[in-house]
Amino acid sequence: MLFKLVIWLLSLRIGKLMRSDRDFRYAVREKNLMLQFALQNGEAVRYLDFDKGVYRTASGWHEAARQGNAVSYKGKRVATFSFASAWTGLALLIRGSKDSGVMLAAMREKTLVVKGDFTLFIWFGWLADQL
Amino acid sequence: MKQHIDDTSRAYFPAKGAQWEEVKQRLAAFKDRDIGQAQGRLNVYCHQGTPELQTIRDEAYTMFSHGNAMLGGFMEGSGTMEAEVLRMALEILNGAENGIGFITTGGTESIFCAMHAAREWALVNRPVPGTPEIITPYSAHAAFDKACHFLGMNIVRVALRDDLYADVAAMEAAVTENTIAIMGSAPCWPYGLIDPITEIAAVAMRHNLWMHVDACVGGYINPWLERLGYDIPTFDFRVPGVRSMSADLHKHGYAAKPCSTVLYSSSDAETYHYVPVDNWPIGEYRTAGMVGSRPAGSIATAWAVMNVLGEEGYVEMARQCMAVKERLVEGIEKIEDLKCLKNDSTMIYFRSETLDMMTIMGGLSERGYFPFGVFNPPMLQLVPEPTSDEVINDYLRTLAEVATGVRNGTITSTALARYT
Repeated sequence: MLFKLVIWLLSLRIGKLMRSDRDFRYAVREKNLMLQFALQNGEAVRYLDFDKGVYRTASGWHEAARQGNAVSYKGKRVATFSFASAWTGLALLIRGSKDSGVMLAAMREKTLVVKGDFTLFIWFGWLADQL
Repeated sequence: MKQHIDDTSRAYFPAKGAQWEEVKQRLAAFKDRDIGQAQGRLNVYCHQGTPELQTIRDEAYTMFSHGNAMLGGFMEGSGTMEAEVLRMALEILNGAENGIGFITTGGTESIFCAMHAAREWALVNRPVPGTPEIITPYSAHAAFDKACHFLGMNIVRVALRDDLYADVAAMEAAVTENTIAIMGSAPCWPYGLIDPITEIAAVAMRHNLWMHVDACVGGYINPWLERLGYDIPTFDFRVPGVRSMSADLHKHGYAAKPCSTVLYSSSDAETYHYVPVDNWPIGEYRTAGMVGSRPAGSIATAWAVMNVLGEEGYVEMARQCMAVKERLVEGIEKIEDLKCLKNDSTMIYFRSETLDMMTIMGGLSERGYFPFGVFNPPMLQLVPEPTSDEVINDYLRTLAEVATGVRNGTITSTALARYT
């Protein structure tokens, strides 16, 4: 529950940056990508969808995330971050937001699985820096 | 640029390689067909400096000839060397503590990068309803047109004053809702004149425009001319409102080509300079400018020459350039009917009211000289360098001979002024 709350707060913060931060809006204006957060038990948490200056977020699955391991879907870059559990997700978001090494270790241990366009893992690191 | 081969009846790519000694001789033969060192010293081979600097460049380049500056972030030595060159550049041009810069392949790329940054800055800070425009004096370098072409912008070249300086009032009158940037040259290549940078920058501040100074020619000599007491108007980051500058280290910085700098007044511009691409299988691709791979060798030559000369050495080089200019101007004006244009640089421009300049160019071309020049008005251009008396005297003797030949009708072949 707390993990979903943190992701929701993160999505709200992005929404605020999109509305009020010109530099942030500038930085994502050409991005057409979707980050899906989920749990490894198959439960969807929330997605963040950047579509050339338009930002959407909702709980549940994005249709692009249902396409398996594809790096893109209808021209949109896609990555799904699946956490072993909500607690793992929470811990990783807190500790890993400023240290990509924590995320990399989690991937090695399979407590975090990234599917799709792996370069979005790097981009997520940039996004976390902006929040 | 020559793109066509002379003999199409044979294949040029060899099925089997040849010995280096043989290939080297053929390379030397190409070099022999170029304009000679003496004839080209005041134009095509300008910005070489002294023979000592030539040796330093050769050795420094060789040390880093296999290096790729694109990978400077991973190469502790090369990366530090490049950072030090950029810090020295910012110090010379009075950049702020948080100023930033990038080394590019030449003035054209530096100008492209600055105009790209201006366009990106405008997206955030000065959104325009139509196609973004930049305003330049008529005398701005052709690279601004190229940059606008590539960047989907319009260039508005504004007519000059009668004295060939930028007409600031006319430039301000040309500002529209689509204008995003304005610029001045220090000096401009066609006339060697330094535009009124302070006044143009004031226009930029009044209208919230990006202000660029193109100091590709003057960036690394104006400061030394100023130290020598020449009347050089303030042109660099001391001028309020200047956001970016282009300045070529491979001109009066005496680095090997290609080596230029694009500099910004503040690190805020970093956001607008980069084009960080990550939408491909390799992930982030963030390079210093338009190009990817860059020669570390030319950066090494810049670092070496800057450290060998220091401020004292550069001032001395500037003094020698001006001494050569004075000798050439005196010699040219002694030739009947030739007159030099007064300007703010080491460069020389001369014309005639009575003799046909195209025929003078033709006569010089026939004698092995490259006709660097200007069309509006027709003038020949020289770039004085610390060079030998022999080169200077040969040029003046040949020019006098050509002027006489044109006057009495024995020289009739014509040539056009050239830059590329």
